[in-house]
Amino acid sequence: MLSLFKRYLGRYMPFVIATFIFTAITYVVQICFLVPESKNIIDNGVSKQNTGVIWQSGIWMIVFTLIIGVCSVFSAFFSSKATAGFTFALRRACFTKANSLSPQDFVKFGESTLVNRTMADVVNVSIVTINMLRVWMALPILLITELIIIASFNAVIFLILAFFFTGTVTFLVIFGARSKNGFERLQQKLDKINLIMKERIVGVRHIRAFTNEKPVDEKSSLGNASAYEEAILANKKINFLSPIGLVVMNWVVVLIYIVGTAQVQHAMASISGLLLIFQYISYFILSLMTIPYVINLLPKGVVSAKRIKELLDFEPTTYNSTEHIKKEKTLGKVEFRNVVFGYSGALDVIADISFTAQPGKTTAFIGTTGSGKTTIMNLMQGLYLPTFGDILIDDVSIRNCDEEWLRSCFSYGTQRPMIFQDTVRNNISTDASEERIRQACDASCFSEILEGKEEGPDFMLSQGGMNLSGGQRQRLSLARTLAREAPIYVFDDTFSALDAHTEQKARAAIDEMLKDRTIIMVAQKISTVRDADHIIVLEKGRIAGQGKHEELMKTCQVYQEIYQTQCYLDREE
Amino acid sequence: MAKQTKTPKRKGVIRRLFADMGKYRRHFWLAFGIIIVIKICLAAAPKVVSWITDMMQQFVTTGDFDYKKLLMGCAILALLYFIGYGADGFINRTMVFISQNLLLILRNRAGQKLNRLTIQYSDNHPLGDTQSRVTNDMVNLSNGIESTVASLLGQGILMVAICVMMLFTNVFLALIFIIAIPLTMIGLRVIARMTNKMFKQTNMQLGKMNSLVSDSYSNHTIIKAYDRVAEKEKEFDEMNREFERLYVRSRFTSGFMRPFGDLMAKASYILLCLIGGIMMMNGHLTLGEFMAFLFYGNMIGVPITELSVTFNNFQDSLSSAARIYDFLDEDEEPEEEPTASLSIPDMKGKVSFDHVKFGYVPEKTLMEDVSFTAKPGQTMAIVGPSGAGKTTLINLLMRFYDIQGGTITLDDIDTKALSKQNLRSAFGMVLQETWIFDGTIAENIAFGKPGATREEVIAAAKTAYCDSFIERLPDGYDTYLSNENSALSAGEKQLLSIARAIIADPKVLILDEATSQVDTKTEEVITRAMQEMMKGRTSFIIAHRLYTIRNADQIIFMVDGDIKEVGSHEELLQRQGYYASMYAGGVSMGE
Repeated sequence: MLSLFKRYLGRYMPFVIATFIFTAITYVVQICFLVPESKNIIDNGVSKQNTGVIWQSGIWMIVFTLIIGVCSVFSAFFSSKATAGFTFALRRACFTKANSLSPQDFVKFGESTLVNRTMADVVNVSIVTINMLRVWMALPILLITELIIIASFNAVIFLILAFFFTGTVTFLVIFGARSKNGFERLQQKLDKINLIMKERIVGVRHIRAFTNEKPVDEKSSLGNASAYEEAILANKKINFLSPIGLVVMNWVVVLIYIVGTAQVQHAMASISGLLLIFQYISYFILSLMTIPYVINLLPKGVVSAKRIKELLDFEPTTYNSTEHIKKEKTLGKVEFRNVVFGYSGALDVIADISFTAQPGKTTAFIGTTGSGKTTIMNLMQGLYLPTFGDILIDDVSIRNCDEEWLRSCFSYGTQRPMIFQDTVRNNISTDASEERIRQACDASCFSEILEGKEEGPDFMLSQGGMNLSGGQRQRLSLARTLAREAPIYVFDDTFSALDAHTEQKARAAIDEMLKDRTIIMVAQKISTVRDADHIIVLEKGRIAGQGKHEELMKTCQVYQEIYQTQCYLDREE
Repeated sequence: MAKQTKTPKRKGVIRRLFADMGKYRRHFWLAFGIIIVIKICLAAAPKVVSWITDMMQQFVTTGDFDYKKLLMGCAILALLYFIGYGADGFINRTMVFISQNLLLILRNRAGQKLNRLTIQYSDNHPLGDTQSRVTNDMVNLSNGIESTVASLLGQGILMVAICVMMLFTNVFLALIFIIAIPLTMIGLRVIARMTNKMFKQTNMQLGKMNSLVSDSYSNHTIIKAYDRVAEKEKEFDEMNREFERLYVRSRFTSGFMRPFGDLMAKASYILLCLIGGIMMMNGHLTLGEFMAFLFYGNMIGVPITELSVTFNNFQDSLSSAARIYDFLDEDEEPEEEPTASLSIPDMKGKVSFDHVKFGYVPEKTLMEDVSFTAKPGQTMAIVGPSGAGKTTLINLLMRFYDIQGGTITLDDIDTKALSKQNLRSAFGMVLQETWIFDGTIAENIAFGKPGATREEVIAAAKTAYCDSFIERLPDGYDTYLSNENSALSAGEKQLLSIARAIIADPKVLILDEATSQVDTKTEEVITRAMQEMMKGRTSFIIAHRLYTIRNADQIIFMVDGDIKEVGSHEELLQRQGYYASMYAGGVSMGE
């Protein structure tokens, strides 16, 4: 957590210092000036029958109170400013970092934890931050000032107080920390309950269809019961913590009475002095009461901070490129030379991949799942770097090309349609012309769907595009790929979710629209690839054959097998 | 959807919570009693302090001193503090006990509710909303009971007790506080109301950011590939800026609460010192009484500020409770009629629709008058353009929804005369969206037949062609699966749900043939497994493959949730209707 503070709170240091100073002022004024006035009233006013002193004291007290009030407002302002700024910077850093991750690294983290780190974890850290700034940071000033003042006029009571206060704090911290494990276990049980509940809500049809309501409910009940036990157990350990602390500190008050009386008897102290001390003790008790709160809050913040730091400090597998070669005009030739690749040191996902995709031609990949098709698509766009071998775009190696230029070479249609929670238009493109967008919609057969929507391209999509059907989402995704101007178009199994009729229509339109461009596509069906200029058959990450449909039907065994299974599935076609 | 936006009504929630506490109500009353005792002790303590101080004062002025009396005073004080602060532990424990028991009751009840809710509810409510009611709101409620109820009661009682004690000590000085308290509380309520609105805005902004972040992250590849990063970051920055602004505003305003409470407390303190000082001078007040008032002044500051803070939290918990009760009050599947206990001993699997009329909403009828019969062992292909509402048929067969007219019979027995339990166990279902729960592979298969032996599980897995990939996993059948990150591909999950249906050994099957995102080899295996399973069973199959459709005994052609034609391939072609035109047009059988 400290390193996060150093990095992102540093900029707001003036605010932090201002908060500290203003809070400290309120404490010091209160301890050193406001409270002693009550002693003054008794010693110099009441005892000496001097009304003037009392009124004068009153005026001073009002002045001090005003100072405290103004300082508190400043402190509230600056602490809010500092925390807000810190939260802003931290969250932005998380968002930027997550966006900059390569797909490989992104998957390693997982989408949901990244969302959690950017949102919930930052909230946890910011709660700790504002409490730290407002309450805890200047607390030592309060305690030290008090102790110094007490020590200055009553050493015995100072010793008693210092001893018991440290003792109680130690007790609370040790036992409070001990209870942490119980609450962690409780949290795990709660997570489990949440998971079961989620399953039951999502799978309601399945549960009812298999008439499994009872066993499932028993499983929930068991989870509930065990969370109950854990909650009772975990709470048992802290139920008596702060009560014990309070009893001890209040017994110290009683003790001070006895000691104080003895002191007064021997004229070593005055009653008004004791009165002052009792007021101070009440501040000790108040600060003591923040300890259970800290114990509750701090671990959560620390865990969150750790998770955030893990994200921010993550060393991405980036470009080692020092040169930034780029071409003025890209033709769109893609060449793989003996490429080998394995995710994070695992076994090779693909090996010995060599091929050339020419501009104006269609190159198609076919193979079973896990044969490495998507990996090849990602590699050519520089989303991952090959372990061995080289990939060249227009004869420029992607190892030393300009990253931005490389991106501009491609328009990529993903396997799973990805939809933003935004309008149709913004989903397709934010910079293409109306004409281009219309053309893209026509080619992808998305226009037909738009016709049915009153709002047209301003139709608002829900999260994940859930207000469209699967096929419609795929068409939208296709429209996005087409709307982007690029020399190379990659369609990663984009057509599989389209029905045969739409696929035919779309393919014809696309061939027309992207006449002189490089088209690279991944497919599962022979019918999709059979007209391609060049077909590459993949099996288990190796090239099993390449050529035209007719050639492959003669020479490539894997291709023939795929052909036969598909004939089995669709005997009539 | 309308229900989700409805603001939960807090009225009557407290009464319901109280009723649901059941036998734990006596714990509550016990705690309440202890709280009263505790707070009286605390309020009495300064009185003892004043007595002791006066004794000291007397010593200073007259020189005579009674040690016994002092020690006795101190002993009483120690005892009062012991009870007043120490017994708080019992209150904490009792409140935790009550809230956890209440929570257990509500959680179990919510669990049972999930089994009885109408499918309509699940279809019409966002999953996230239901989920947060049965999880987050539960935790909110219990936190609320544990931390706010005792505190609200305690601080309230303490305040009253202190006021009473102050009045007994000195009426005039007590008036300072009795006037200051309501003023402070009103001021604090005003600030709280303002901050509440701001906090709500801040949280809404946070929610907006949350959806932008999760939207961006789930489209991570696209954002990178289409150079949208800068654009998204700009959008995020704007939201983040706005959040920063709202945050400063809300925190700053809420930061006023304590200083304001403090200010009022200090104002009272100053008045106390001034007026008290003058009164002491004139002999109307003893030093001890003055001391007592200083203690009271200190003590009363806490409840005043705490009350307004806890009151907000308390309201939050009540809203959570209201949302839970709203959920518990949702419509349930109608109770089975007592006669609906028929079971069919030797089921053949004949399914008939007889003049069935149905619509999801009564005003909008989808099926007007549908009749057909599936003979035992027949394959019925459900066909239609995409969005034809093919799931409607499944909903009716399984009685997820009830029909409005006509009858559906199983082996010539009206399905309404069967218990849902008996009816549904006659059916097996394999849908396109698979459902895997947290548990081992064996448990996931055995879900089809609770209590199945390992041998049965393996046999079913073998029939469904799961065996080979399961054996390859490091822990075999004991491999732990979870929905979040599964070791299985989509195709393998589908095979697993086929195994689940096989082990259930139903007479009638409902299948979805759709296998998108599955490569052809796996698809072939799935098709084989399905064909294996369909042998000797009546099957309703949502068909996508021409082969399946042509070889089906009957084709059920659906458009917009209605069954338009039923018959064999040849019959329907001859009829020259919907099916024939679709077949001729080569239009796909659905996406």
